[in-house]
Amino acid sequence: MPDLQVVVHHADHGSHIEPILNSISDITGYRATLVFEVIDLDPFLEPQRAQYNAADLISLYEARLTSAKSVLITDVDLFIPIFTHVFGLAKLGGQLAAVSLHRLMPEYYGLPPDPQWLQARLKKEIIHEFGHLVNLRHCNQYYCVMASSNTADDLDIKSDRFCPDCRYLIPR
Amino acid sequence: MKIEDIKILIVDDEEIVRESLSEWFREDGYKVDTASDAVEALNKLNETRWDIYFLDIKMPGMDGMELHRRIREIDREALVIMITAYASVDTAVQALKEGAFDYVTKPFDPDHLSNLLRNAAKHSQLTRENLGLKGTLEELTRPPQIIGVSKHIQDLKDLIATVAKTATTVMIRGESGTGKELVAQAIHAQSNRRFFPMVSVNCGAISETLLESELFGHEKGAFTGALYRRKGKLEIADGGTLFLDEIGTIDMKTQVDLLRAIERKEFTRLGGNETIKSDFRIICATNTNLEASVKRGDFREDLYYRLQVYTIQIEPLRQRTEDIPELVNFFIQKYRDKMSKPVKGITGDALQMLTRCAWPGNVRELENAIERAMVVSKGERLVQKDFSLNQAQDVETVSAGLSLEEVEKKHLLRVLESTRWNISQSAKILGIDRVTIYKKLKKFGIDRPENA
Repeated sequence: MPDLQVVVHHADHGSHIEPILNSISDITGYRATLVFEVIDLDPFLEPQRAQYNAADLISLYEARLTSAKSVLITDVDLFIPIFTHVFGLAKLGGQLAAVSLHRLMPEYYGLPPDPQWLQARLKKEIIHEFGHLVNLRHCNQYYCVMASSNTADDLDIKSDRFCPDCRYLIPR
Repeated sequence: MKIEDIKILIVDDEEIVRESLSEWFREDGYKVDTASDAVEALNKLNETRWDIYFLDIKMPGMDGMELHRRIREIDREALVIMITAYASVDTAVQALKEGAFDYVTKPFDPDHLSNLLRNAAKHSQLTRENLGLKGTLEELTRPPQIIGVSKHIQDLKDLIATVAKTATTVMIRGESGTGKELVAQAIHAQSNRRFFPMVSVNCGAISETLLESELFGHEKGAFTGALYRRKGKLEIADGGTLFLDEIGTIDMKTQVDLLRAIERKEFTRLGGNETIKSDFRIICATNTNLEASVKRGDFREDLYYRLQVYTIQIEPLRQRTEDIPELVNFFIQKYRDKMSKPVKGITGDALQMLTRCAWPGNVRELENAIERAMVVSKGERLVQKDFSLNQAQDVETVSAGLSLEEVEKKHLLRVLESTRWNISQSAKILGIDRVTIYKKLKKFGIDRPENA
């Protein structure tokens, strides 16, 4: 079974990842493991926007990580220059993707904290970005985890599973 | 059309915008290419057709506004979305006025961009579908073929092309079977109204009371038997053409209502109060002498002049016999396909015989003769014998047990009717001079009919 590293740079984030690791392995067919890395995010801060540049972050750290497909989890608000924000970012067929917890947390929308809700969203977003790393494009099936999600509502609507067509395309 | 078939061209001088947008769209399955300036974009436009363009307004050299104008000159169906910063929203609004589909401001909200692209893709799909359907409709509404090589037919085609482009009322005159409805169809098919219905009403085939209801429609309970509201032909023909055949047969009351409806383009259904507006074009046809009807007071003079704006006269077949060979070939082909018969043509003798006939029933009669001959034909070519049934009928009318004088009178009348009382032409056919014809008319006590 190939590996999928879920990389955290903050020890607290591990508590959100551990409960969903097995499920991610089952769904992706890749052995998901939790990895801690020291990552300095300051160089990626855009002061005017108070956000962090996800594209630069991926470019810099992609080469430093192992050859396994990896998804980096952070709690800062990510953006790419042309967009107001991104939940996550991955290059098709790349090695590293980034996912932000910032806009996945119910608190961002003025709601009380809900760890289970956050983990459900996080799992979908990790699996979605993993899909891009293995060359999957967005899917037209609304329930497929590869359906495009531009809002937290979109994330909640879709399932954490691949549709049969997307599943078939995942390289083993 | 699927998403994968939609092609997007992103034109922006900033590499980050080009790369990020194209990556984003590719993830959604679109075919994407980029250009860093207007010149590169125009070169790519020459190579292939793009469905959706994203154009940055501010670019060195030719800006997005000018590029938008150039694209619209080349491809009017292309959808253009302008990319702008907040500072240049006014310019983007100007682009919308010039026909751009929408604009997006940098940085883009992913949700907004996604919805915008989805709408643009849907719009593009519908535009293509619409063009495809229009093409199919063009095929279906192709003008009917008017067959003939004579100068009259060529002039007729020119007249049809000229009058079709206008909204003028047209009166088509000609003997029965000359193809008046075909000419009306050709006018409709070549007009701007061709995508709307052409509604035909044979005024002579409908009783006076029914004709009124047929033309204007009726409300529920307007008369006994009016169980439901029914739209009239004038209403159905909205946007299209109303063809009124045998217009000379309509009664005075309907003439008044029709005149009002033609002039105001509005009317009420029978038994109703609601004013119905309808934009129809009238083409009418007659084979009777309307002028005589006007003189007798059977046809309203005002309606006559309203309908007589532009007249097309179709000559009877006997006056353009040079059209017969082409018509014969056309009908042979038509019925060969319908009947799946191996008939390829007609022998010279048979064709000569057909050319000599007077064809009082005109093209319709000729078509029927060919159809009958095709039914009995056994060879590859139609021969005289295949038409024997028609000849037998002809012979019978002159060889019945009549006296010589009666036969002469009958034959004289028949020839005069076939030439629409053209004395010179009749004299030529009979091989006598015009004075002799007048003498014989006097001798037999025959008066020239009013409508001749």
